[in-house]
Amino acid sequence: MLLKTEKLSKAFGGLVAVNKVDLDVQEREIHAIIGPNGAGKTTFFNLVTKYLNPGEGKVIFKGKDITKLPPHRICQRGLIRCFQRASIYPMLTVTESVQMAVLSQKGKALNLFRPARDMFRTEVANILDRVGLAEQANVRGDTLSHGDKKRLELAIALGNRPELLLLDEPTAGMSREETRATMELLRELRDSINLTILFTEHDMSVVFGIAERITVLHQGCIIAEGSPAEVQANEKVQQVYLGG
Amino acid sequence: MRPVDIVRKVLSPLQSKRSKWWLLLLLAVLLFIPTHVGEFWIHVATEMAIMSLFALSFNLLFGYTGRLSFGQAAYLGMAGYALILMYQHTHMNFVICSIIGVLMGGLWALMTGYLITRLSGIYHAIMTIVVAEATFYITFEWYSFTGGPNGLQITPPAILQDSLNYYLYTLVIVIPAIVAFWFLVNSPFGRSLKCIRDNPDKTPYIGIPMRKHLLIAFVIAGLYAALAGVLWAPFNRGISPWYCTMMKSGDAVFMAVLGGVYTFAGPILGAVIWTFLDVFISHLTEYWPLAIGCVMLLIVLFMRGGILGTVQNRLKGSRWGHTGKVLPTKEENPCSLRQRS
Repeated sequence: MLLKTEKLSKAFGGLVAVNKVDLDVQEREIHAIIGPNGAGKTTFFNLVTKYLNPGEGKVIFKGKDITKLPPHRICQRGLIRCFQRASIYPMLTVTESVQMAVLSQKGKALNLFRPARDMFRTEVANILDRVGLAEQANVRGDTLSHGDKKRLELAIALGNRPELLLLDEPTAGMSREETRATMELLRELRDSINLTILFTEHDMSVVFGIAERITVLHQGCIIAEGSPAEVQANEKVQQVYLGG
Repeated sequence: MRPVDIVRKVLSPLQSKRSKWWLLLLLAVLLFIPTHVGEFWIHVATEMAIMSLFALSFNLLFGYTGRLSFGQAAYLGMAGYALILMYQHTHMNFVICSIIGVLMGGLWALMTGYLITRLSGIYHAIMTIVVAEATFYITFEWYSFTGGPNGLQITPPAILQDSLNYYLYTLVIVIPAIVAFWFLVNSPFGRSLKCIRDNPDKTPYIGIPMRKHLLIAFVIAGLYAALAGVLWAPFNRGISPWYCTMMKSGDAVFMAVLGGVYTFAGPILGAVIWTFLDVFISHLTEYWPLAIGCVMLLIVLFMRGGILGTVQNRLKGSRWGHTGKVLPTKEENPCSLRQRS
């Protein structure tokens, strides 16, 4: 068990956004969380990574309780998230952004004297090759297309050597071509670096294309969980989300 | 040949290995010129060098970290007071007193920065103003210790009373400090500050303890202002509460904005131009702030990147302007007033 949440809950005033969610993610699994808008998918991610403080419940990662840890510590342990809206560094180049993640992962972020430019260049180049951003290596973040920004965010995440990657709608706003490439990439990453991926997505072709396990959230509660076939056959899921 | 091409040609040595020779030449000019100009211009050059550090101090927070500070003068003033008080009361070596002065400025930055760096956006800016004004009132009201509105006077050791010697003493401190600043902003730590500036929400999620980095940056900025302070107080033969205020901090803001906040050398250039304008125009008219105000208006309206930022924008493709745009778009402006920290 890589990630486990126990009765994770969060309420905003009277609205219970995430309601006692128990979720297990196995190692080397591609796990999708689906559900209608407002089901609590993003809030759930925010609770796991401490973007928000959980109201109740526990998050256990690699057998250790990480509920009380600040975000950067969670990240240092190998649980990395990407944001829904491609969250990148507009004034840094692609290389510089990924390099910073690598530097931080290697514990060099407090080095005050060596020029950062020359550090871990091969690692950075490898990551950029892998996600297909090698050609844009020296381009500023804000001049990238939306799809490339998403890929850059993924590259930054890879720079942190994730064991578990949380992706919030990894293909949102991408063309069909880019979507297919991203799906390929995620599968390839799982196979090559034993990455576990937990993602949310509205595009059902992506969900049923790569997910091995699916959890369905509705109004903050888990209403179904299982293999894609099981979830697809579930009556309740069809009623609230898949639309028959 | 377009003007842009000419500028590019002139600046091209800076993109090559030969840049070292150009820097050596610059150094030679800095050392050579003052021996051939009058005392007055030596004074002006010294002030330019000191103010460069003050402007860099502000820019570490604003240009590199995206945190607006109107309080850098608090650390300049604190260091100046600490130096003079130590020198008067203990009669220790002048240099040792200066070092203590810098450390006191840094300590003040650590104490106040601990509170300030918890905030961001407009609240950060207001808190720095609060600290500057508090420093002003402490020095203004504590008559027995700080001399109140009269401030404190100091006569530096005999050897430093000569303008040329003091100029050289200033250079010996300012040049290594500027070199160290270059290493700092290009180091992994400097890169992490740019990350905080560009996207504070994201930065903890690449494993960077943001509050710690912000506090370290704040203290380093404080140390640079303090370094300017211990050079300024003996140069000025004294210090008064007015060197601790938000108004004085505003000088650093103007210098950095004038030269270009997203560039390394911008604040230095800004300090040089600002000091020159100050001296030159105050010769001509007592309304010199009006002229400087007009210059600022032009910069803000037509040269948003400051002088150097605008030049770099025109030199796309060169090493200086390698990323093309120096200014972020409005939407991504890191200096817009965010509330999350």
